[in-house]
Amino acid sequence: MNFLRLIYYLLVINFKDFGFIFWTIGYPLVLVTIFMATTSNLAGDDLEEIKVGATEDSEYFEALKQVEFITVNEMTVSEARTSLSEENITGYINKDGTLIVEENGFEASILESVINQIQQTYTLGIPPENFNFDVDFIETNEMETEPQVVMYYSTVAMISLYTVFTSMELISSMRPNLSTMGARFSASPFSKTKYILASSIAGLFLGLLSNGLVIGYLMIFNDSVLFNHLPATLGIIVAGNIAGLGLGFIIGLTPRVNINVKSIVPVVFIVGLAFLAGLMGPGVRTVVNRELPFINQLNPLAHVTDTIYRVNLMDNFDSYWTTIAFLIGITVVSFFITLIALRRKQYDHI
Amino acid sequence: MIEMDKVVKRYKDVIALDHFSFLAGQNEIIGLLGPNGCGKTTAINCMLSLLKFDQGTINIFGEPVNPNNNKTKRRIGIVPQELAIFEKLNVVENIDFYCGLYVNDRRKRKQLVDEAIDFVGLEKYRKFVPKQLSGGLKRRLNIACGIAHKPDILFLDEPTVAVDAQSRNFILEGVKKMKAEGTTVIYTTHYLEEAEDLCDSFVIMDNGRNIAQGTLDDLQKSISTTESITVKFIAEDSTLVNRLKEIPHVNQVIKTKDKYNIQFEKNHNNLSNLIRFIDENSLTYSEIKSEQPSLSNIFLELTGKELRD
Repeated sequence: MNFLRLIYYLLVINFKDFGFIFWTIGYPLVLVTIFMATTSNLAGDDLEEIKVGATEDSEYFEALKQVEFITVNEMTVSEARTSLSEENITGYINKDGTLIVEENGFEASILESVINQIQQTYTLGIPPENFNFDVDFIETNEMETEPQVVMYYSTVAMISLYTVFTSMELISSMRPNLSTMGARFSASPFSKTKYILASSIAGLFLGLLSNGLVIGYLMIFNDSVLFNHLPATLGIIVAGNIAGLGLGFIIGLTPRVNINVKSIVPVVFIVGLAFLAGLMGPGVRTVVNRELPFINQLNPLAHVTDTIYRVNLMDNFDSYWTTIAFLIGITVVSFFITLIALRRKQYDHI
Repeated sequence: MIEMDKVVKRYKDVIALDHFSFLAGQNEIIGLLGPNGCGKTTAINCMLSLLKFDQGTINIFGEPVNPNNNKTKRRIGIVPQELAIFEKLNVVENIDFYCGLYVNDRRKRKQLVDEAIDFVGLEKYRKFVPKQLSGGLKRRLNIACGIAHKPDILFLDEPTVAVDAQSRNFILEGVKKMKAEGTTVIYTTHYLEEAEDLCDSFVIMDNGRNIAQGTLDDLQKSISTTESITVKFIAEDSTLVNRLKEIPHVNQVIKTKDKYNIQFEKNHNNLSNLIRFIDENSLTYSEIKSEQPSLSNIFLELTGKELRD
């Protein structure tokens, strides 16, 4: 059988599988929809006006007036206390830049970060009349992440590793101790290298299709611009899919275990990686990076998430190719391990 | 074509094949018979070089089995006991997929697939996926996937389990046709009547050992089981059992409801002796039947148990 025919059959086998279609295409779309529905109020576009009090002679007064979503009213401290208790304003900024709020909340947090940014900008010596909120004057390696964006990027990264399911299934189907098809396959003279390569191409095609649908969905239905550098984003996603294939090969090689147990392994594996990479919120990611930094250094999903984030939100391509090399490296190593493990393989037990 | 010599296969403390030896010549159907767990499938998996074995040698087409010997693999077909077909591919695609593991040329493969479909009688179901087929038709598809590349040796592992009578006949006729076309078939089954009808010779296995091998004639001669003649007399009396026991070489007489089962020592013109006795005693009978030991009797004597125990 030629290579293309084999790929065609492998695609048909997967495409007609409802479970595969649901988990690789339906489920990610559902997940992204849920994220969009539950985090839309966090997006800047939906911010309501934040009312703030300040003394007119405060240097913060002019700066705050330039912020589109902030309305500044001149008032004294005592007037401000009354307005705060009556919830007419969210906060009051003293002349020295200290912020008084009646209660903590979403708007108070945003106000606090605006004041912080003004203070840091002043520290850089930029005059108030030149203050521009469209430009980020503060360069930091610990840039505050935008929660919903990290979740979208983590989701896209997670889906890019879904090729792990396809390659795991295909390797299992070659093994006579795991399937009757494997007995037929192993008893035949067919080249294992050819089969693994065809499986990889089929898996990659299906993975990219799944990723493409999710990215298209996000671009159409999500208001904010997530992918400023789409070709570079697609590049890292292709590398993520390739890494997923390699990880699936290795899981597919695990010893004879119940097929249901085996199906759970990649699920737990991917969800675990996604959790560490910040899918459930950036807080986890921050804690893991601080306490156990090596975990996310080895976590392919964290690499994909970070690279998508850096490329699209920070225009930063510094580690782009290193990440791609790391991800493809995972698969090259896995491919050879798989080939060596399956080549001339005879089993102790079938 | 196949020579297995003193092969030992252990699963930890359990000996699955215990110095198992076996010979299969060209163009014959060999029944590999034995109760569940006797080592039939293990022997097949060793011959297919899927399973490691601890001792002994296996040669196929004069060459030792080796998982990397594609030349030998190309000439072997396998039909496993469990269905090994893709649920999402239709009949043509399933056969083409498995045939494609052996045959690269697309035109030749198309011809082989068509022949395999004709062979198992699935012409009307070419575009059906397995879930649209009955159990028997799925079995036929399973067989077609294993034979499409026209192997010289075919391993058929219990192909008629859970199959309707029509499909069973189709399968058995198909196996005979394959033999006629020059294929050697290694056939495992639980159905002794089926094996007796189909196979040229038999290997009887028990506890991983080859306890007998040969044609039915050879096996009948090798056992001590007696010739059995059953007679239904029209008129009888209470002394008849004792008088029948006086016939030369009679071992035992068992009277059932309306018949007498007389067990003779074998190879003594027993039927002639019985008919002479009937004439001399002016007895009349309505039915008389002489039976050589069946495969089932042979199996019972050799292993001490029924095949389906």
